[in-house]
Amino acid sequence: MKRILFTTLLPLLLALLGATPARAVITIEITEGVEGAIPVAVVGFDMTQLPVPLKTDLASIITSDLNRSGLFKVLPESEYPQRPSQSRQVQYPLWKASGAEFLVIGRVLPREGGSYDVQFQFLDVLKRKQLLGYRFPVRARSLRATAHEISDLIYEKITGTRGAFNTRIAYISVVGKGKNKKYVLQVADTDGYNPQTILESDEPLMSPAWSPDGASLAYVSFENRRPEVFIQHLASARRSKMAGFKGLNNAPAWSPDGKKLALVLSKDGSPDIYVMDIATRKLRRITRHRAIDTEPVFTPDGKALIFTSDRSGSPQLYRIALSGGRPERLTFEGPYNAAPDVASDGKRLALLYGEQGRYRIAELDLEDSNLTVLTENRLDESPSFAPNGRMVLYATTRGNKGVLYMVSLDGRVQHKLSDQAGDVREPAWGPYKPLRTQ
Amino acid sequence: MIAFLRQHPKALGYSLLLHVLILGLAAFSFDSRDAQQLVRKPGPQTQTIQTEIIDEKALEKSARKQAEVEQRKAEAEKKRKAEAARKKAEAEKKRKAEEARKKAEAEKKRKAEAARKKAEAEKKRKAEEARKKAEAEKKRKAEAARKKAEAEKKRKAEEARKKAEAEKKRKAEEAARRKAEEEQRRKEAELQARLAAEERQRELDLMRNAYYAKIRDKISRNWRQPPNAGDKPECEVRVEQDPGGFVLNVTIGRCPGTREYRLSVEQAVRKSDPLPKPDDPELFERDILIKFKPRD
Repeated sequence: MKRILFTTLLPLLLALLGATPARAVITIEITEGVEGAIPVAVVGFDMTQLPVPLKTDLASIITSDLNRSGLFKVLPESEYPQRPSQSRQVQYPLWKASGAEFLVIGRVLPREGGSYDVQFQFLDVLKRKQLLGYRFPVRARSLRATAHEISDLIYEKITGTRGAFNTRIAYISVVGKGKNKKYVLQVADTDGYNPQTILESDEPLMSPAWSPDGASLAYVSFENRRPEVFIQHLASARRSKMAGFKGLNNAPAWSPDGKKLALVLSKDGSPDIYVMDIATRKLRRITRHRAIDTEPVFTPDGKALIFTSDRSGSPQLYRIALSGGRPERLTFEGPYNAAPDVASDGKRLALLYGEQGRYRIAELDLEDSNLTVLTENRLDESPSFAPNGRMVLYATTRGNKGVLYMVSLDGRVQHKLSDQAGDVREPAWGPYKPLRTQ
Repeated sequence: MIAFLRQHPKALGYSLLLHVLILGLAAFSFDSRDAQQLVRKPGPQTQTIQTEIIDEKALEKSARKQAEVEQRKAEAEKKRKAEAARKKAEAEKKRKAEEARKKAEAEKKRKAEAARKKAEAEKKRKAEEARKKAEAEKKRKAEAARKKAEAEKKRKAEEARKKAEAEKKRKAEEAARRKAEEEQRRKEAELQARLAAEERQRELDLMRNAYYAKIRDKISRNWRQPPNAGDKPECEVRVEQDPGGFVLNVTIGRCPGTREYRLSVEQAVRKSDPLPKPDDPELFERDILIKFKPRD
């Protein structure tokens, strides 16, 4: 049978392979391959030079980041053939045999004044060469950020896109019960570590939104028994009420230049979209419709808004140019499309897709209108793109409790953020930190 | 000769007469020919008579007119004429006798000559006839002999020709048979060689196929397509290897798609280092173009 197959398929195969004498180079076609993450080994950083080992495990932070991206698969430590900390110690054939295509090694050296030198190298096992090599002088409190920074560099080296591990997220956490119930606005690292409380309130807090420079948050507070919009500077904790009009003051969103806020106000009747100049507080009405228009977000070019409206009878997404004109409907698939966020490339939306009582996170390709559902939960909410557009942060419900998840667009990997206290909702992914000065 | 005479008795008679005449005439010193003419039977003679018609009246008239002159003259003339006529008659008579004689003699001679000529002609004819007959006979015989000889010769020639032809044919057949056999052997040898070559080619093709399949399988096994590849576009990677299969160079050619996708095809090749070797070193390919062409 095999013989027959070979003989009958031979001409075809030869034709396919292009194995004609006239051609100098033979061609072999590869049509099969296993879809999978890039196997990487992250060796624990050598700390033997330190008088006291660090409590922060840099390698495990990097491992967690890389795994979360969906693009990488960090091999279990038990499979590592050696524990090198410098490239000259690396025996490449051993690593190749282990299946790792790339290798992360490093060490931490003591510096004067209680700070550290973190050295790391990113090595190509197959090419046997260094792809990245850095030394970071860091203080102890920046060790985690440094590990995320290393993850970002690795991600960028492989994909060409800046990684978003060393960024922050904001979210609302509800803690306590009954009279002790508190609403807390928090900021944390993307892996959920280092949570910091920005604001605590007995009344509901909602809709945190990052300023483009990452220095401030806008949010909705019910501290005055009705929704009002505030802006709070994180470092100084200074806050100011931006919108306290009659009726609803909701859903703030920053313009890309950080000078304007899009808001939902009902002061003139049904909720409509307005744009406020932050410096002058001057309002400009963008939509005027009997239906509810809400959840505005600026497009990356700052020239349009995308928002949710039930003007067609059910919530759908629309785009309206700030220069005027009629809103253009963007979603047609499904009875419920809401809570848009725009990717930094401006070509994709993350949204909440509802159908048959199920609300899931989906991605809409604005170029071909292709909608892809990214999650398999029952009740998701508030999708928010990472600044590089490769992951989506969202909240979902686990045992009557809100928790934060990330889904990787690279590998559809779902990752639950480390447990936050309380019932967590409405996450917002912050912008890149200012570029390193190195 | 006797038989001939018997057949022609007249000839005998003539012959005998001839002999007697010859003997008889020898005494008159005639030559044989004259004698023969003389003894010939004389035929009827015809005499020619000279006549002259004179008109008497005219004469008388003239004579009267001329008178004596004429009378005398006439008398003299008459006398002279009588004399002349007598002499003339006499001469005439003599001449005529002589003439008759000569004529008879000539006739006789002519007849004898004619008879001789006839006999001679007859004889000659007969001799000629006999000669001719003999000649014809001889000729016939010669012809017959010639013909016979010719026929014999022809027969022999034919025989020889046939034999030669048969031999030639046999030889030609033999040669053709040998040639055919040789051709058959040659063809068989050729077929064998061709089959062997085909077999070798087939074997090589199978091995080449297997070689490429091994490379394809190894690279496929090592091709980890990134999960975010999306459209998975077609990529070309040029590989240079040494005979041990060790990859010397990897060059990414036309390859759209994300950076990690491009990386994945390069890694697939590098991970497959060393590449499988062919069963026959002849099949080794230093440069290989790998086309990554994922199926959806």
